[in-house]
Amino acid sequence: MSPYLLHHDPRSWDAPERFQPERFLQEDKPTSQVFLPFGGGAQSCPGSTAALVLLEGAVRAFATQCSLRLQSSPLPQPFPSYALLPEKPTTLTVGAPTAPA
Amino acid sequence: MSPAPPGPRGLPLLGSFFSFHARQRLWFLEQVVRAHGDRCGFRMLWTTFIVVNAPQHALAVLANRDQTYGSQLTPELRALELIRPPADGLVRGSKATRGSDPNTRVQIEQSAFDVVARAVHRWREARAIEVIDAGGTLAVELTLKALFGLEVEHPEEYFFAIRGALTEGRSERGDSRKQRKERRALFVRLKQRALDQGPQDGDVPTRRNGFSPLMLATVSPMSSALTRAWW
Repeated sequence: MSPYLLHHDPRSWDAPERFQPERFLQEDKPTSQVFLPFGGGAQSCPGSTAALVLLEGAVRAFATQCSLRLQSSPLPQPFPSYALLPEKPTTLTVGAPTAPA
Repeated sequence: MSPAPPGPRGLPLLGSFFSFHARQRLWFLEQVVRAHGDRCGFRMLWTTFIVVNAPQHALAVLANRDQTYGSQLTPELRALELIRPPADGLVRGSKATRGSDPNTRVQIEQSAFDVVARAVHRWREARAIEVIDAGGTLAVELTLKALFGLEVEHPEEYFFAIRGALTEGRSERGDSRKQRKERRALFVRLKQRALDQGPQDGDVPTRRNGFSPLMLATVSPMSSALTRAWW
């Protein structure tokens, strides 16, 4: 079972390649059957709750402290390893935070 | 014996070994699913892989029949029992994992913010970062500090060692065999230091220099490859 394939299945996701976080705010948000970032059942990630708490703090810091820009294009291909990694070395330029719109 | 699932026949003996490794692995999986449906399979050498890509079967595979599919978890659980984090850190970490205590939750969230803000400050001075190295090092710092209150002097060293152990023997982007060997050697040294220290009840989770046994416990669930290789 590949979370990557499930998370990019056009039958379950509109425009799966697009970064659209608001899709999780809608009433018919993705169910746990099509969105499995932490796996499921007895093998599910025991640190999932902790990870979500950490991510809240991390995202807040990224959004307020810096802006990140990809140095090269196109987007790197994903490569399945111990985690899903960019296939080739990928450099980000780190700048000052952009002012909120 | 049940019939083999539909899928590419591949080569005699080798099966789809070369197709899987020759190009993007995800691309290969996508092609197999597209050609043979949501329940299919392929063979590589002597192992048959079953692909289940239907959301409606996710629950069956992950929960209802986990005894059939879940045997790989065992060595990781064994590793967690071998190396325990400091007692206080374990309590704090498990509170965070359950998410039951709102005060702990706020503290951890703030702690995560502080760790990332410090890292971002470093990155802005450097102007550019390599995603995997910077992200992996940050993940090590973040987990240790926010969940367990620990700081290590060179988090990047831990990340390189862990990554080396996790990827040893497998093709990785841009890595020479020598680099992988060096990282593996580093990991072995760190592991030995952890075992020499042993689990210490009542460890105070304040600043500690050098390696902490906690490190292995924190990262070991990342991949069964780690435990298969070293325990």
